[in-house]
Amino acid sequence: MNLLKLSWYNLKANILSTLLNVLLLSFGIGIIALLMLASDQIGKKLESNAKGVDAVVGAKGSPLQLILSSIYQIDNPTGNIKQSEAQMIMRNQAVKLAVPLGLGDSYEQFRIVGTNAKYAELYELTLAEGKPFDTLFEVNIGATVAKVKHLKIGDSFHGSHGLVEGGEEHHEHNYKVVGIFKESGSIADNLVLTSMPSIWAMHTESTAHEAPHKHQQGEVETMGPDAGFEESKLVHDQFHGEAPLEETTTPVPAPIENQNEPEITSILIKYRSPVSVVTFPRFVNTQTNMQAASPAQESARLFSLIGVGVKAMQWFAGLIIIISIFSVFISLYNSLKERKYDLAIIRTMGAPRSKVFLLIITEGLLLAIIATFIGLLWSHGALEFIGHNQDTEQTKLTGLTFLKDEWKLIFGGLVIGLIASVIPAIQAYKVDISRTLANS
Amino acid sequence: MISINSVKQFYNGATQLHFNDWLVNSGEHWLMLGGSGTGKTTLLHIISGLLKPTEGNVNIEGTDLYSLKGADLDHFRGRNIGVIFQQPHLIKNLNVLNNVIAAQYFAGLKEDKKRALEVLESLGLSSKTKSLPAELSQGQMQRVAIARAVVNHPKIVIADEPTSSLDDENTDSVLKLLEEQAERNKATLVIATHDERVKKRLTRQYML
Repeated sequence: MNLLKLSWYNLKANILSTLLNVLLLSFGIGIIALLMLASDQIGKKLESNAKGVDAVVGAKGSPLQLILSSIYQIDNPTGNIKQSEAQMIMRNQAVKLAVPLGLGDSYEQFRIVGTNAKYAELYELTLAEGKPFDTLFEVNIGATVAKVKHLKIGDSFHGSHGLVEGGEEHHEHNYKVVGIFKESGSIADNLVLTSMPSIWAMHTESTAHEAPHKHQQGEVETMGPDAGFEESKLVHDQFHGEAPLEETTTPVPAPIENQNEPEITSILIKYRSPVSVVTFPRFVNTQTNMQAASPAQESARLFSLIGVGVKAMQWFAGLIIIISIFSVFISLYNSLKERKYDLAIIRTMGAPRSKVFLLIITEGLLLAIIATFIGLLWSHGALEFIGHNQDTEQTKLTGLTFLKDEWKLIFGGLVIGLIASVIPAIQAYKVDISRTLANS
Repeated sequence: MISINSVKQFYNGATQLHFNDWLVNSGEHWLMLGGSGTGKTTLLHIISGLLKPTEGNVNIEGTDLYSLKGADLDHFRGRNIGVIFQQPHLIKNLNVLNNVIAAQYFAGLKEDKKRALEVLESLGLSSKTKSLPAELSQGQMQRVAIARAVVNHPKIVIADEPTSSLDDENTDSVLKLLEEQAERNKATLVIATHDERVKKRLTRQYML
């Protein structure tokens, strides 16, 4: 026999009001936990994906769209930029590392990204097996892609046109898996990486043999079939990060004159020095017909947009918790009227005032802690369920990770139990045994 | 031993109850008789350590009861005085056995299941240990209340109108059990009543 057991029996005896209280409180706590978990996971995803990227240069348009498409791989790209212009940016003094991206194709729900070996370097990707992509149509795939599509080294597949499932398939060439990355927790887990020339070649063939198809915004434009071998070899090497950019001998043609010049979608840029944070974007935005966007700024902007919704939900959850405090308080207070005589008997049996005080407090705490755990349980369950039914592989949520801050919720739950039960407990403390017994 | 000396109780400064001095020796069985309004319950509460009299003192087994304060008084009461009320007032969400064990717990004594079962058996409740109070008859509930009052080997057992809600048969058996239990636990027994059926049984009587 102890206070916990007695409280438990009491809660069980009033099962309906206990259920209502647990339901309310667990709902409030659960929403807060859900918000905490989701914003932590999304925040971490955003952060890890933008890690190391100081700026993204691409076609003019919405900077947020540029960041979303090039870093988080969610939105459509803003358009294309000419390779020659890209090279000019890549050679800029301020740039320490530049990674070109060519978007526009996908393999079912996964995006195919034309890039070079520096992409793996930027995202600190290591191969679990196989080798880096090198020759045409070789690809490296992210861990999730391999898992979901059951792809192994040596397997091949068709890419399709467009960023959503169901695009026109490129039947002329197969992509061949030559390497699979270890799971990195970043967006790269959901990508198919290949070389820029593979992307160009995939489209060259289709335009050469078929009627020119309509291109989506941002899709990589084809390289002209008449491009000289030497040039393409050099471009190939440059885009593999093998040939120094400075050694380009071919004069950069004016973009308007060369309709067949290959295009890319965007460039991920890492600065040489922090000074460039101000100067580089200004240079790009004013001196070229491209734009430079900062992932840090844009994700902060995005977060402040989401933040409004999160705030509203938090207020909602707070309101539910306040209602649940009242509900627990009212149930304890009402049951006290009935139990006054019981408490007097308990006192007669030798229990000091402090014990009946603690008995009521324990009841409040026990209820709150049960509700808190149920709340945490369902918030994790709900998040796992949401993650399970998510289409976008990029921001997959999971309910299987725990946050340190969840301890604060448990603590908060205890405080709620305490607040709700303290007044009834004081009432119990004050029960006049003799008068209560005499009035029965 | 119970002794009360010049005990007076004032209610709101107006009503005055003056109680005659009373000495109950250890092991004796007494009846406290008086109609309603004579202060029976008040005196019972005073000697049970539930109500501090306005004047006078109460001595229980050599202890000046109201020199004890707060939790000390509660502990003393829990260990030395067993009280049985007109209504059994069992804790309704605990089963019979747990109701008896709760008396040990609230008195701050070690839980002794064997002792609890032994007392229940002596009251003929062995088969009801797992039952909830709501499943018992009035007489059975009153027997559980007796078990609860004697489980801690109290020196004094005090019963307030224990038979008023019972029929003749149950009254007889409850009184018999009360005397038997007091005897068995070597406790002093005081029964407050205005029940004619009870008056015949005990010779020592304190009139209010």
